[in-house]
Amino acid sequence: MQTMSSVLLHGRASWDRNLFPPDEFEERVAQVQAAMAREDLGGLLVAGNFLEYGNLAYLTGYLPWAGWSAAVVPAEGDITLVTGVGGGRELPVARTRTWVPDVRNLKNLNDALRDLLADRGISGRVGLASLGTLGSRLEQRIRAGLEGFACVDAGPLLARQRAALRSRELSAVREAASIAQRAAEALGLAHQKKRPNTAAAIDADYVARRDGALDVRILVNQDASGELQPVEDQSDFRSDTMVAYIAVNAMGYWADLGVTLGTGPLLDRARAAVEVMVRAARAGARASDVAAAASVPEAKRWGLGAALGLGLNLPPAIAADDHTDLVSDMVLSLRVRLPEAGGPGALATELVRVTPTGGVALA
Amino acid sequence: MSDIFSIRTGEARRMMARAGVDLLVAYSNGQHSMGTLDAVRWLSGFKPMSEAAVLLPKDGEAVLVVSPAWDEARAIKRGWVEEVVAGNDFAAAFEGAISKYGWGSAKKGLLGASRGLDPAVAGIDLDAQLERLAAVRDELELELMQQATDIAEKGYQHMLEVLRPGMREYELCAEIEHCVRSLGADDDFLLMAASRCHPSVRGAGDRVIDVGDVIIGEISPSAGGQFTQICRTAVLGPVSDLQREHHKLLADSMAAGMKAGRPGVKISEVVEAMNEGPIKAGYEKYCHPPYMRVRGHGLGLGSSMPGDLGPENQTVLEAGMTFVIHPNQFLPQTGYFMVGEPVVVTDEGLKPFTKRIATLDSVPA
Repeated sequence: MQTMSSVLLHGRASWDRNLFPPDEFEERVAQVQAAMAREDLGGLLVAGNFLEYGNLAYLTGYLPWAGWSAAVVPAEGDITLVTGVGGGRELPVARTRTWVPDVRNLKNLNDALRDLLADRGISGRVGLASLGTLGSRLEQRIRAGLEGFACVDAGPLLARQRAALRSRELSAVREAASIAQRAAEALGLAHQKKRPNTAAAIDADYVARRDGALDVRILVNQDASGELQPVEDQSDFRSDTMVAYIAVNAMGYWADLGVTLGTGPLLDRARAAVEVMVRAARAGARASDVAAAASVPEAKRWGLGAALGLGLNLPPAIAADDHTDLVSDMVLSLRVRLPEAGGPGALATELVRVTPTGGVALA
Repeated sequence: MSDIFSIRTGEARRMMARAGVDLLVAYSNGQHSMGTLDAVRWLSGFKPMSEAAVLLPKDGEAVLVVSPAWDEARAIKRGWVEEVVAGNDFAAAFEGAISKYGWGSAKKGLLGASRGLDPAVAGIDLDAQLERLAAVRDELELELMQQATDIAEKGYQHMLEVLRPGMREYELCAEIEHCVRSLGADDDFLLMAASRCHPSVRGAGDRVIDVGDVIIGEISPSAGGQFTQICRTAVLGPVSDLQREHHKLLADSMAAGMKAGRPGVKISEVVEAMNEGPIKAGYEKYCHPPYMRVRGHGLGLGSSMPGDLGPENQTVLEAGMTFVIHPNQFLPQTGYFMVGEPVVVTDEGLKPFTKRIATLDSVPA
């Protein structure tokens, strides 16, 4: 679901060397370089910011905490992480949070960037990915600095590499899911204690951060509209049925969870629709097939789910117009939100790993 | 309609008249920033989760376009704009609103367009004009900044109360976050870390906090969309003489900046006053990147003015401008210290929003 993002990731930020040792990234880079060779690419320039870092983090493990960063990937050999332009105050910290030995801060985006590409032996066709994360002005400056190179969109190349999560990535998603579950329990406890809905959401946020979340996004019903909303202030509103959506980021990987505290036919119906989608989420099926299986047209307004990993709403979307083929080890968040006149309705979710025989619960 | 919204739309319309445009398109991609202009929120009072736009004609009612569709109820509840158009496909909702109100051929002025507004929406970029227009803060912004600063100070006080050896950095960060959110903050730019000697500022990691650690933090909550920032340094255990000396050097630097800053003075002159003490003490090398970044910065909502407090900034201060002044930097042996206050420019100098100016605090271990 769409959530409210913060201005800064301010939870646990660290590189877990036990879960993601350098060999993990060496394999990823080698596979990407093999794909580059197939597409006759002399190099890649992959950008990211603190909210959209998937391609960058896949290659470097680095999660930009403010501003932007970029990876330069040559056809052969080691990659370079650029943490920005000017200053370099971030370098001592950045070097502790990436496996990449060559971490630099460029003097500028013109000569210095071209010099770096030349230094890494990059010429000819260069693949660009996620440059949109820089904002249009910076993107234009970088593209201008790359005059003379044949620039092509490398987004699809990286999307193919990242579609199926690797086993260590699945562990990170499970860790995020585990934290989300504990946050949901805190939410439930606060609800039992008759605390207002927004206070319960803040308690859940606290537990998630205390247990190691890098980022937490929570939506909760908090007024008579019954609609899910981010917490923007405290209110005394409390409802016997509370509905919340909790998304947790651990080590850059997301997991999410729908919570409906209450029972009733609406929740049963939402759960049943999710179960049908889980069974339909098999390798080879299309995302639109999974959406069709749900048979809950009234839930379409909120979306029926998406892929998860190094992003919260990654393609494919579980929607009638997304015909992407599902692949094994893709992780999907399947969701059914059913509205209710004068109430919060229900939200049921399941986090699944796609297998040849259907979705398997990940959490 | 909110009085403030009425005033802001009036100012925006005068800006439109000067630029010769018929329709103002203020765009947000739903990503927020502590230090930059947020035209949608400034004009509408609504904080979008995803793409949104305020369409303000030179005459008539404004329209707020939001996505996703199910966020419509919040837009109505939180925003000042009565006419809300919502859709899961923002581009379609935007085009629908333009078509419905017959604004297709209107000469447009654009705010926030560089953040991802469809390039097909042609118009005059008015970002610089709004930055200038909103540089002097209005009554609501000053009120919200005071609220946010009160929250920040309570957040820091809470940190001092719960800090103990054995905690991990991110656990301490969670405590601060919980405190400021419980007090009503809607966001927080929070950097906090522990070390014997910080090379620079960073976000919280796994480190187990130990006796003798220096805790540095930028606590920067937002209230109603208006950010503030306090910069603080504390030691878990006794403070050394050198730590005390270095902290005083930076506190004196900030005091010099606060004394120098007043209407008519350039930012570069404030920076010069702030650098004088550390340079005289033999630390000129450390008054430049990578040992520091800037001596402060704007805290945006309608405007990021007066911008970064750097030696090249020739912006002239005006009464009512706000920013954070922070001589945060690395010094040899003691490391990166943080000292900073949010201030408003007054005829008497820079007036802090904080009730307590930063001191080097010692927390019993």
